[in-house]
Amino acid sequence: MRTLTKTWLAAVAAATLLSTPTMSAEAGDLKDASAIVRRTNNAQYYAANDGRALVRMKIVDSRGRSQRRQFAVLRRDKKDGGDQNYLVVFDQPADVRNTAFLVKKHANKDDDRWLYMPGLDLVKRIAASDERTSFVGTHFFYEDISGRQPEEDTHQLLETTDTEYVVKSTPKTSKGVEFAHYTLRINKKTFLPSQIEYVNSQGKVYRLIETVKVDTVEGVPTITRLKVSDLESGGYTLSDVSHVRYDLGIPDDIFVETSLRNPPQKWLR
Amino acid sequence: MTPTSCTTKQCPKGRGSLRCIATAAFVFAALAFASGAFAQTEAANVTPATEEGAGETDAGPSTASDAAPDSGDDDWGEFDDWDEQEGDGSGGKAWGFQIGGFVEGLVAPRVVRSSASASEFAAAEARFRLNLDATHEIASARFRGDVYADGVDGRVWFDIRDTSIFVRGGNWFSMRFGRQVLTWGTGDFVFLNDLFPKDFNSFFIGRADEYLKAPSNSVQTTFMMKKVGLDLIWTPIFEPDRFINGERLSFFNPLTGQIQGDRSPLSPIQPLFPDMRLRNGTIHGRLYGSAGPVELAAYGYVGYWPQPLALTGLPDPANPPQLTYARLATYGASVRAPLGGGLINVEGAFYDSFEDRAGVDPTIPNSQFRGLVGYERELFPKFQMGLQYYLEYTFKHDELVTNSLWPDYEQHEFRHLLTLRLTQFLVMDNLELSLFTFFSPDELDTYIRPRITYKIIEPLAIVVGANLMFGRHDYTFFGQLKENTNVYARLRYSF
Repeated sequence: MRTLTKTWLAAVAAATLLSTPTMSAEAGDLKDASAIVRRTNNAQYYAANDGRALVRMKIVDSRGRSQRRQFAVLRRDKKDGGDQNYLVVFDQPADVRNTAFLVKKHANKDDDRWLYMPGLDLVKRIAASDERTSFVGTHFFYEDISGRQPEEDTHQLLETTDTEYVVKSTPKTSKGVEFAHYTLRINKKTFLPSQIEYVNSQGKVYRLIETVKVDTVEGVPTITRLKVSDLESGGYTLSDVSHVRYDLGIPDDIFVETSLRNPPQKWLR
Repeated sequence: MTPTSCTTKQCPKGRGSLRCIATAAFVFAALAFASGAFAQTEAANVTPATEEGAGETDAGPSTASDAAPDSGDDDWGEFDDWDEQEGDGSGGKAWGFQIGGFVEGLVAPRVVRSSASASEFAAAEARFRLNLDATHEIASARFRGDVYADGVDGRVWFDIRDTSIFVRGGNWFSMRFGRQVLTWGTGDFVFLNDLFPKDFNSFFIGRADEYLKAPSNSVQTTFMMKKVGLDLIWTPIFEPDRFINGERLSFFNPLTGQIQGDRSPLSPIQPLFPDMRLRNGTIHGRLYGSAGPVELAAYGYVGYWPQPLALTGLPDPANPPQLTYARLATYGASVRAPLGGGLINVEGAFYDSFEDRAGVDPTIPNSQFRGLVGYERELFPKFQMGLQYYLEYTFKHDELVTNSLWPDYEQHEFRHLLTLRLTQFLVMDNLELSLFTFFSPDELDTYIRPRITYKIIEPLAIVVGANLMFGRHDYTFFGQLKENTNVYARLRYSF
């Protein structure tokens, strides 16, 4: 049955939103690029043990036409840097309202994902898919939302400024990736990325992700506004995260099929 | 499996159907106008935002490291006054409310000459859908209702798809009462253990996929114990499929040996319903759980065949037989798991037609085993493929043929069906190309559903497609529908 499939992955979406704690100001600068990137991964995608957020996205295409996406996200980590569960419930656009995703993210194998289509009352399991394709029609890729495993790239520390680490990451295999390498600017205090530049095989920057706003929520530095730009087409997507809460004590047993049909309002509201 | 008819509520009898249509046309026009007005307002809002957006891109990266102040981008300002809908964490309020729906026009001309059907259209309708939701932490109420003016039969129909109340009792128990659409099982457009009502008319005339499922008045209870769930659904008054009865779509009638459409005095087929007694309700059950990535489920059903495949009596010139529903119980199981980068599913069901297990009574369908194996995966980015093999094995086939009133038209002992689904998303997921094909190598018939969906601009989407049925014989599952072959276009404005 068709449709919302765009979605498919969606679920994870969530992630973007919930960011991180692992940090505390460090006395000396770190030298190991891989360790920095692992820490960034934890800061950006594994904040606290669980979290809730409302995500709104505005997609603007090269001709200036815009679209919206809005969804609520629940997340619970099994282990920092490891497996996570997500429940994502869509509210906009209107034609996908109440569509929901359940994602069981696995660090070392394909995620398990389910999509609920409310018109048919159908819970559809979704096959694994390319991680570097559009997330629900936005300029974000699934991988931007759910995180890229640090082990998939080799990392090189290019520069350490007063406030940032600059790391160049090169994929170990070019299979399934469209970039030759990417450059991360990482805040030394929060370990959140402030900018990611993707470079193609011609050496040109064709894609840019910028952190526009970071808020400290319940003591956790959290990226609340992100912008991803497709520099070739001129299109971009803005992402705004609000109503963030951490460590609500979301139980593991809400990440089940019945929650797709009847989302757990207790945690979503 | 004879497809067959529709039972929505129509305008009260006695009123001129013209008046009904006029009323509906007025309502529709008003809504369409309102939608158009909204669209314009939105367009007006979009333009300035766009210009600002472009400016902002030029302004270069706003690299906020720490808690950077809002970058003064008007583009972002939009989020500040973006309406927050219910259920998004607006917090505080006990109840959240939501309203939504769509306005849709559908036209589906037939493209094959049909001597059985009078109308040149399989569908020509204007539809208004209203969705209302009220949600609370432990309870919620839901309404989904359609009103549509149907140009093919010249009537206005009211079709309530959902009016139900949901109550949650902790993490282990929940209930939904009322009219609702229900689905389960692992097949893609193929249903084995899902005995909930279907609407085959909608499926073959270009309505949205969701209309393949018809609602029923039911009580659903769900029990969750750790990783195992149990669903029990009781439908007190048996709700059959909205089968193809000759009124809108033509089908093969084995009694007459001909394709029957609305030109026939025998249409629409009106089967005899079971009495409205407590014991004539239906019960559906499912026990499900998972072991790692592998999902397992067991199913059971006690009720009736969902289509009128039985006759009230043997032919008797004084007392013509009438179609009716035979008793049925089903038992089945399914497995679904990731495999080779895709998903595999296997499902089986035993259809116990217990009123005639010996298979010798020609007025009652025989028992069957139904099996399904499916595999789907993404072949290329945004290009998905799904394959299914489905089998229907009829028990006591020799007895069936020996005693049959129409032995030439009985389905084979083994009926095989293959399906192929291809889906491609393009243009930032705004364009979807989809193809779904059914093919039966033993009945030599096929059903092809090509479809293009394009989201023109946010709330407006257009769908163009076709329902192409072919078959060597008139009496096979899809072959009997060949005169209904149609192309369609659908335009939907969602709100």
